[in-house]
Amino acid sequence: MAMAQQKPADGLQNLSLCETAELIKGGEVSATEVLEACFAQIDQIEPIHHAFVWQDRESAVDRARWLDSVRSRGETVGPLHGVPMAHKDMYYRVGRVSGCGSQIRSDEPAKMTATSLRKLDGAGAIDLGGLAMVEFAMGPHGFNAHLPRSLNPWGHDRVPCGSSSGSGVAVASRMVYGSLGSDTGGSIRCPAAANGIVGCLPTNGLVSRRGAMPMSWSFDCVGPLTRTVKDAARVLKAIAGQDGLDDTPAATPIPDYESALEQPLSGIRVGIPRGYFDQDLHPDVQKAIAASLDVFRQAGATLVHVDIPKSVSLTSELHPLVMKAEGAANHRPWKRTRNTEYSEEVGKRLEAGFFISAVDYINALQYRVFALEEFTGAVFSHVDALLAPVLPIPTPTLDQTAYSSGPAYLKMVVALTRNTRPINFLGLPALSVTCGFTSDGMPTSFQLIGRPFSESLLFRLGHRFQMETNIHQAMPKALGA
Amino acid sequence: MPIRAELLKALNDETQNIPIAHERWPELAVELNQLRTAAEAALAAHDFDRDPGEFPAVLRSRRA
Repeated sequence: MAMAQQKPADGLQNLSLCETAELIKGGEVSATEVLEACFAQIDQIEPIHHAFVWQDRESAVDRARWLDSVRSRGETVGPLHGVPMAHKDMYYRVGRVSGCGSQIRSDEPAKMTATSLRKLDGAGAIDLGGLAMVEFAMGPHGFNAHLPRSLNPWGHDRVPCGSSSGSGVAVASRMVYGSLGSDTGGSIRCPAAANGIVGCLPTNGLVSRRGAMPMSWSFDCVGPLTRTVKDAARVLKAIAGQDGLDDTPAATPIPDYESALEQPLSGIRVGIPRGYFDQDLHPDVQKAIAASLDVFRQAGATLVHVDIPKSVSLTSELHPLVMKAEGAANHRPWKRTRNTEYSEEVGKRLEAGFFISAVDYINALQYRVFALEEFTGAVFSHVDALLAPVLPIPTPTLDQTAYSSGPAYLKMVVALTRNTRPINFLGLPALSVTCGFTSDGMPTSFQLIGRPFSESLLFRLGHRFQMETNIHQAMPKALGA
Repeated sequence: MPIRAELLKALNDETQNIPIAHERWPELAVELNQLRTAAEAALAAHDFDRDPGEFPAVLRSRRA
């Protein structure tokens, strides 16, 4: 397993979100200074990497100054006080355009503010800009024909994955400390894996989707991409919970995820999948996963082999049926009247959905309930969390994912979300954590999959892994590793 | 009986009215037949009394 050279933290940009927030809280650095450090990093990195669609530096500076004035009175707004973030360009803010990676929405100001943005505002974060994404979040490799190509800082010839491509690149490149992405079939976990950072898919319904662009109502989830698990825990705590505006968020208490991070792993059973998730794995990925399991074993967890129900394979095939039907329903008016404004790739991806029968769609949703019961019964009666690769293959090259109607392209697109989309179908939480490097030097990740609303346990496991290995401190090549 | 490209085109002309290129119909037929196969396979676990709206409640019931 090739390891990237590790570099000690040497400046504000290399600190984690939580470390930075604590420095601001302690008065050791101002929000304005942190923001200026972000600007300097963006000025250096962004011209090549194209993570941003837009930046609003003026508003960010005003916000930082206001936060500093609050701090000068000895107060803080919340646990993200003064932390610069930027988000996938599909989170609405009243009066602002969120283009959703499209031409169609490129000039339409939002009529509402996303609950998740309101909550981040309330926690003291600074919203610095909108990040690149796949057009309407419909695609896993990260390419958007309407935008400059976002480059993976670990290898410019590799895809950043998507659809939260800009979020993956911006966080990995230390341009911001964290970002909201969205995950319908792997769109947080895949770019997190490809860019060597952490991605959290919360339990379906834990975070409000109000004011976030819909792609597939059944599967869409809002969640953070960060560099550390602790950072993800802090951001999720800030955005989770009911908002009174959205029927989606489950009425469930939101634990203090950070307070549980240091608890020991003794007694925790980590599952090694037998079936589905252990199939078609590249040897490099297999090796990194095996090494990760060793880390958990040495940290006190018990490793348990667990049989994966055969229904998981069917959930993987039913996922596109539901997603495409819902996507087609939402896009029908535009597909009829503004079809030429879609890129060829995404326009075609929507077409099948118009011919899925309502009966098949409803049967698939009925099956979802059965599959959830079967999976939780079969897996979580034996283990507390399941460990599986995010990407079964090394991060593909740009050439390997170049659009065509050929079988190699289709196979690659399907492979990218093979291990992630069943989890959306089941509505379970999953935490993507970088666990090593493939022989080409690219990061690879596992995902910890848990029972519904078990994010606290997943964070605890992921945090311990990062503390034991320090793999998350490795620096992308483009940053001078 | 597999879904044929001609059927999809006729359905589109009568109901959906989506601009779709001529060469796409055979590809769409392949894709939709795959999705139909999955939908048929799901019927093996079909439960007459199962309300898909129960999903959030089942999620809550399966927490630790």
